[in-house]
Amino acid sequence: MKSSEVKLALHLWNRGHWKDYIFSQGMLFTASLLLVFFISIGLGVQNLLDRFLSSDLPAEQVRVTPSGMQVGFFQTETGGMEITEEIKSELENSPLVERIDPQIYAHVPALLRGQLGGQPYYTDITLEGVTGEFLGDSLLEDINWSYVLDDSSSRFLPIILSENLLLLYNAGFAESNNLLGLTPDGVLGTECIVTLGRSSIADLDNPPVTVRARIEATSRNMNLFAIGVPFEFVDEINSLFLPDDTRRFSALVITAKRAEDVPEIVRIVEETGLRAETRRGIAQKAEILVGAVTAALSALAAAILLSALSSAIHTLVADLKNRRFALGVLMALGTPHDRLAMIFAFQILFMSFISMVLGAVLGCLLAWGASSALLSLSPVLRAAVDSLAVFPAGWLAAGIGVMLTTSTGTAYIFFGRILKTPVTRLLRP
Amino acid sequence: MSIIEARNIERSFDDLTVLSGLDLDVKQGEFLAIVGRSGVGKSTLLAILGTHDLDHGGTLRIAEKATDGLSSSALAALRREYLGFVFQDFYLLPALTAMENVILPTVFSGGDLKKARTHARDILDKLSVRTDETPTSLLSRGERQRVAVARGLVNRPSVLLADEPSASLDEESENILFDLLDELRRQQNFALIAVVHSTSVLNRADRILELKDGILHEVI
Repeated sequence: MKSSEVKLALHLWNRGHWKDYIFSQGMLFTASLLLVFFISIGLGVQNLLDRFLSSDLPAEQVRVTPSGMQVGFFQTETGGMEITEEIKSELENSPLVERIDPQIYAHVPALLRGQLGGQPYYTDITLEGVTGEFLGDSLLEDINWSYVLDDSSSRFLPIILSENLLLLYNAGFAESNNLLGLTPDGVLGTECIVTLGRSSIADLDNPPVTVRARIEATSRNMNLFAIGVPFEFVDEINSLFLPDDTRRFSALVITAKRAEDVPEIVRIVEETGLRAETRRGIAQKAEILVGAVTAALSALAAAILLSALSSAIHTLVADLKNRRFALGVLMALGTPHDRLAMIFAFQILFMSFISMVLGAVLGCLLAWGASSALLSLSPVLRAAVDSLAVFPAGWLAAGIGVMLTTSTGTAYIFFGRILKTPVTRLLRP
Repeated sequence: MSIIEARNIERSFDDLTVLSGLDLDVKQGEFLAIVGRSGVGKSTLLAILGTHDLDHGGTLRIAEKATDGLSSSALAALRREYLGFVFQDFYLLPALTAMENVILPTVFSGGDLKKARTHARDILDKLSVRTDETPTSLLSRGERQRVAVARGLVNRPSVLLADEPSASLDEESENILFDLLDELRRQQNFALIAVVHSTSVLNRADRILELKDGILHEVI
């Protein structure tokens, strides 16, 4: 059959029924649009949650923290089990432990200030002394992770910025001052001033010490207001300002000899009354939350898919039911069934395919637009992810494929049944 | 040679027997008029002869081909090749014009559209039906009936099955219609099987058969 004949046949067949036809195609278009939009945004939200909830902690490490809540100078809760030299030694002697990298808080008030985008800023902070291992081997090669006060005239104090603090900056300071949000990579190399012995809420008797600092790395494994600095520097500051205080650790990062020993080490740590965190534990917590969100999004997508599908099928079938008489006339006049089937298949399959692809394209554009709008409104999101919309071609194609085959397949089966119906019954009013 | 040969045709609807052991032979080129009371089964008989109604007993041969056991595609081909129809209720597609309704079977069957258009225009002109863009839903009942007749003739059938083709026409239009049918029948030698009531039309018939008690009786 020539294309001009198919065109004429479709032109005559649809005369007076374009509204119904466009409506049914509109349903498929909308269904496809909604499906693509929710899949892309849903996966984007999952990515975002993963980003927020993930940890840098290697699989063979256990992070041990005190049971009380204390972040350096900011003491919000006391009375819990603290990490002392004795506990550290005891754990070091375990045959399961390869190495322990201690972390220590500076028990003095501190202030971080500098300029960002031409605007001055300052924030109270606490210093957390970490060993070079905290950064991981790849970063160690580029950073000289050692510092004492005597270096202040010749070197910058290398610091690790908490990514949580960065998020806080993005959500608060940047937003209220119309500044750009900062990404972890974007702050690397930023210079600032660290003042020790003074903060916006406290002063010590000793005169404050000020050093120039530079952000060398960022980490997701630090407390909100903590800034990571070389371990010996915190020891020196504590001795300088509070010589009578005994050394207490803010955390111990235990590296197990074998990753499979981690659960046993966790058990030993928890028996001492301390807290133990592992990548698996963090991942499990994240998994529960991400799982809940995923389930909710999946349920929503399934509901959209089902309702869109049933509407599309209903519309296509209703359209066919309305044309039973016309089909009966054509059959009565001897139109070959295969030609009717071919024209119908072309109309329903090809046009439905076009509608769905157009819907999918618009769904992608809308998801992209929504993502851009949300990211432009929220520096926190912008700092965390590049896009809130994810476009997995395979999944989207599968979704469209399911919709296309189900809706047009059902319509085609219904059409086949009409072709098998006796003509006299089709022509009956 | 019989173009249609029906033997022992039976048709019932639940407990109601409409046709019982009906025999019929129709020769090429003859005009067969069927009469009978309302509800006696005239339309049912035409539906069976047109292979639209397949739920019947007995055998039917069209152009020496037995219809029994043919696939729906083969039956469609048989209808397309040998039969033309004028339905009692016309069965036109209301959104289409007269010309579009007439050429519709050709469009969907992939026939020679140019020839069909020329032939359709010729018949429609002879039947005084407008060939402009007016949809048939806006035509008068008489005009629609003539469009239905034109559609039945456009494929140059061997048999035209017409169920009261002049029921909605005035006497003058009826004469014009049957003059045309006579003319075309002479030219193309098709058989006309028509359910009719009008005496003037019955006078034109080669044979008149009355359907009564489920079988056909020759009317003298």
